[in-house]
Amino acid sequence: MITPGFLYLAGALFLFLAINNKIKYIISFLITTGALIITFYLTPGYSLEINFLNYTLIPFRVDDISKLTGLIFTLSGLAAVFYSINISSRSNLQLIFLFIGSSLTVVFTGDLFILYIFWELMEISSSFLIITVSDLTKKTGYYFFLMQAVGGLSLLWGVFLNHSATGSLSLNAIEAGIPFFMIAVGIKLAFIGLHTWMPQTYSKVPFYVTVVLSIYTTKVGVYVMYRLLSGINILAYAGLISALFGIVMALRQNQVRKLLSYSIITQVGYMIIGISIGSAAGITGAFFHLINHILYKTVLFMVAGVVIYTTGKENLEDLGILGSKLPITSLATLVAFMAISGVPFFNGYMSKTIIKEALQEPVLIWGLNLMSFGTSLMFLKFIYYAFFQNSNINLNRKPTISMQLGLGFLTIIMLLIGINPFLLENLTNIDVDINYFDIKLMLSGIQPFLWSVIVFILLKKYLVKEYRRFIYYDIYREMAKIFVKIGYKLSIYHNGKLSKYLLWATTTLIILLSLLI
Amino acid sequence: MESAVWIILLPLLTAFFLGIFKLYSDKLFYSLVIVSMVIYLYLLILVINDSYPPKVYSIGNWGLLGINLMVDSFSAMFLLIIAILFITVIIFSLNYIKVNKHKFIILTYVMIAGIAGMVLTADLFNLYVFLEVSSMSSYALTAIKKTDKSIESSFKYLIMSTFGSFFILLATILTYYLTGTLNMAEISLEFKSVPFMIKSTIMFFFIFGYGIKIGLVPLHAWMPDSYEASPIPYNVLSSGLVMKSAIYALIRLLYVIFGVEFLTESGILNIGVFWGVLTFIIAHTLAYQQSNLNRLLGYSSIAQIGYITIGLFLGNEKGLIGGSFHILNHGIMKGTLFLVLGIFYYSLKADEIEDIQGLGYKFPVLSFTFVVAALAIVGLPPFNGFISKWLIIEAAIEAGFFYAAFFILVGTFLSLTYYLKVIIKLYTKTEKKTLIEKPDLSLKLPTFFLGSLCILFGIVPSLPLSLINNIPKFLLNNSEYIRILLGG
Repeated sequence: MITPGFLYLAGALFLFLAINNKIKYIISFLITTGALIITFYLTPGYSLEINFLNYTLIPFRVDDISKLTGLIFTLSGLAAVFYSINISSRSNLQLIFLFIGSSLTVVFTGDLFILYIFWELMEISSSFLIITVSDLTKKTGYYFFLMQAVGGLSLLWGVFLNHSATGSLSLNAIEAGIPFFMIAVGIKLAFIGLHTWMPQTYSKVPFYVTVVLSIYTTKVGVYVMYRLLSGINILAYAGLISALFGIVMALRQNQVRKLLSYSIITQVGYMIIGISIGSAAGITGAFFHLINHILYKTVLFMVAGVVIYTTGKENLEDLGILGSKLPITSLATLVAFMAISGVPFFNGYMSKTIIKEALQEPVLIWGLNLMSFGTSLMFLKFIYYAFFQNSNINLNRKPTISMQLGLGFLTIIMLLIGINPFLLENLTNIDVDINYFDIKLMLSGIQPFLWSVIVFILLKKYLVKEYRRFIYYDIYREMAKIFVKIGYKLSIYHNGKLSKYLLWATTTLIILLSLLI
Repeated sequence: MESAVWIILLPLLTAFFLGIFKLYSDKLFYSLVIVSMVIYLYLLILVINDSYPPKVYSIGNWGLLGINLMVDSFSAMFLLIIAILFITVIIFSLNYIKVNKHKFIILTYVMIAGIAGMVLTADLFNLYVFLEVSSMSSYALTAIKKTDKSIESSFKYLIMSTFGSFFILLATILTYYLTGTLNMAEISLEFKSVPFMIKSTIMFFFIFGYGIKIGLVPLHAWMPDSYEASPIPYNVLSSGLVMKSAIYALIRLLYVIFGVEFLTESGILNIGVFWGVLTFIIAHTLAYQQSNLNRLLGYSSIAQIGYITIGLFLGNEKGLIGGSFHILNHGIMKGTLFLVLGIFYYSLKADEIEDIQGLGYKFPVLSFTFVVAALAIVGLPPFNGFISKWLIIEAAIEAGFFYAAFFILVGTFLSLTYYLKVIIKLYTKTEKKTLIEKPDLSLKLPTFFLGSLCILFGIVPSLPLSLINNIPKFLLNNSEYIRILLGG
């Protein structure tokens, strides 16, 4: 049986055959749609076993949640590949395929060994994508790779601890090593304090790479968190804090993609809360939110991409290009804005409602309202720059058709889910038992949005202004500096004098012999 | 006649005849190199295939007095490394070496004879003799460029290594004095009645002597210096075989002569594991500081030896399997890295990190090979280095050395910091126009061969592991080894 992840991985190899653009289109089309169709027809409960070393591994296992995640991954993979197909070089497209393929394999894996291997492959392929894609991203790629490697290695250490404690590599028997799993997942989903890689990476790489990275990197973190760490209640508060931090930071940004990156931190906060309460409703809400978030955040990143592509700049003022000059893009922006703010009849509303209904603690409920309020506040800023500020920026070039296709495709799906929220439930046979169009629910859903509009109008002069860029204190860079300094001190001792070498050898001998006694 | 004997004799004889042929005709010289190489490959495969259950070959029908050769899985794995590295290096250097080419090839053959002798012999004094044969040819190979730097570093190597050899010889003599025999099996039996203290002293002498040749920190200092100055194909053999044959000899001595019970009792296993951790942490830290790629790879070799030491000193089955597998993998990975670097040096005289800037776009496939080998040596999946590191960590946890297991992961991270630096330099575009001498196929093929093994052994580790899985049987249980050696 061909798994969707394997199909993408094979696609990365097949792209070696793509000598001209036509073959490239055909191969990409076949692989992306093929993966979508295969995922659509997967039956939950199916699993596959292989023997490797002394272990029995399960590289492929389907259940409701993984099928749901797989569907949105293949769907947005289709959109992202077509969005970037004209701009990306062949080798970068191969890396993108490798990246998507490994994330899909992570989603469908049934054991920790395969999980680690493809987690690491994701990290390798995305890092090389960042490194090779442009001349300006070498340092960012270095930082990104090292940060992700720390995550990968703590996952590995967690796997070892758990394996030595339980003797099994199964995903369902997590007993030991939980703190290390937390670090691994925390880095992947850009938890507060571990998020330093994200804003700089997402704002520096070419825009189509941001689109691809933003779909998978953090969401795989969310998925793995569900597999390994679901139901740890205390994490819900951590998610809340992380989300509020994201809001504060996002409101300070002047650059479109930095704002969007911090907004990811906020949105991931919803999913953390949903997963941490651990009830079926919470988890379903988290995963529906994951789907909705991928849809609207990808659209927003695509919009940012169109702005960069057409104007060559990416400050918030440059969003003024939207409006009459780019009709499709503007429409998509509006839909995504409504969705992310949680306005009823748009898709963000449904998942936020499910999560809110699943909560019991008043602190969390109020926190969630605050998060919705902050989210719409920061996107009101976005919309203000896009539509309400007079600007005289001109189009340098028109967006390509494939870009608009990718954008439009996701927008339509978003509208469909918004108008008929039961679509997702029917698709995956998960029943939530909430009447989304209940007046009370709709009122409580729209309240934070209305408040934010009022606050935005009142406090406009504080919100819409150029904030000074401040230099962040990055503890990881300081640690790296110490490491380099120690290494430098050590390397000075090695000065090539033979007498010194003999001295070291004799000292070692003395130490060894003294151990005898 | 037994094929195992020819494994030692053939390279020696070839070296001798090469020396004569060199005086008359180049054509004859090269055809002899090729013919002997092919026969040697055939012999190696024959012996490796026949290694389980272990075979004893006694020479000259002198019984126990004579020289015994013994092939078990551990030696067979080394023969496999010889088969992989020696052939590729000889093919590579036929085109690569420009200065003193004949001498280089002759000395390489002598060195291989020494290393093959070390891994096959079951006699303590012969072990020392073969060790010196391989060391002597190593000194000469280090100095073969005849630059000031190479002669200086060869001298340092000579002094340091002789310092080590002295203690190995001392320990050998003491052993002979105490037991009256040099046959490993008989020594092991006689050793049971030797006092604990004397036995430990002898053991520490062995460990110290071989420690210098292996390059454990802080006995490693000669190694980066010699890598920087010697021809790159020799570096492949040096990191893949010379260092490794020393650790082979040490492990063989410790596990067979002293026995694993004594090792546990004397606490040397704890010391070994700690020393391994210390070695790779310091070596990784220093490797980050290097600007010369040969030195960087040299430090990386020292660090990898640290992992191997941990694996082999854990004293359990998985550790021996993981450590041995890492010996094989490291030979392949480091071989690939050095050969790619060799091609860079051949075409642009580039061996500083600064010089290789932008080569990723000039040599796309070669650079890709470099990246694969670098990721493999860092220990990222799905390459071979990951599998052996996984086995070592698992074994360390099983033996209760949690700190060692944890630091191996720290070491993985540290090694990523400097390999990634090199890789990024490789893929940074530059305006500089440099003169390129096109590398031809005879340079590229061996490189690609080794590089593809990195991927193959990562995805199908059962291929080499079917051989390696037998190693612990005769090391952990030395009475089995002794029984076979004594002809029981």
